Amino acid sequence: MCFALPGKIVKTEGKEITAEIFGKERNVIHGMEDSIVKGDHVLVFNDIIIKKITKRGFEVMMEEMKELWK
Amino acid sequence: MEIENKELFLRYAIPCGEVLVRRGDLREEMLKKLRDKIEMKRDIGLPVGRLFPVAGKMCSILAKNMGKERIDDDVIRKYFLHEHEKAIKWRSLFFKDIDLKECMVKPGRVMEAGKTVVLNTPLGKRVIDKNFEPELKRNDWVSMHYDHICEKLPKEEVKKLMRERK
Repeated sequence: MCFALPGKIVKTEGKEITAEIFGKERNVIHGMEDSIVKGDHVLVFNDIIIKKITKRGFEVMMEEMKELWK
Repeated sequence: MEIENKELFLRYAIPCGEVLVRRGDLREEMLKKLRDKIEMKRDIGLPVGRLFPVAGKMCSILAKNMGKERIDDDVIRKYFLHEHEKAIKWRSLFFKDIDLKECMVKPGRVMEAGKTVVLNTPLGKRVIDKNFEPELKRNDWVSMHYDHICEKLPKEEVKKLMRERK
């Protein structure tokens, strides 16, 4: 199943972007048209940002994932 | 981005659909409708990339990287046969407790073909009754995703898959 995981952008330096995903920091690639800034909430798949999401969306997904992966 | 061959995309994506239904992200009736459309060779006039958003988005990204303006058969196969596995391994960095073997698209060789198909796969012998490839014969190579046969594979593609998965 192609699940993207919710993450939070913790660093952007030029083309280098770091996201925190389930407590792990990963260098990620920007796969969208929108701009990304520190603090943005995103969906990441295979270290590629595929979508920007709202903070609320991020919180809901984190809650769902907790249930899912218990 | 437009998916040229929606049937091929769905042959690989539908096997994941049961997981989406369980999560409430896809309606069971929609999954059945999609399956029927393939089996009855009906026109698929639905935005399939939106029904399977991650696979749809990843195919768009791959197509762009390959310099293409549309998601063609090469892009779909590159994603589901090759990139999909990398993505699954990536996911296991975060959730090690999950058995992801079923999620990977695997090659299989037909041992018996009839109403059900017996396949020799890297996971052992499998009896399959969900088959999107109606005309199979003994020794054909196919791709398998969860408990579905997606399509017949040329031998060269199988060799490439075997090399990658060593």
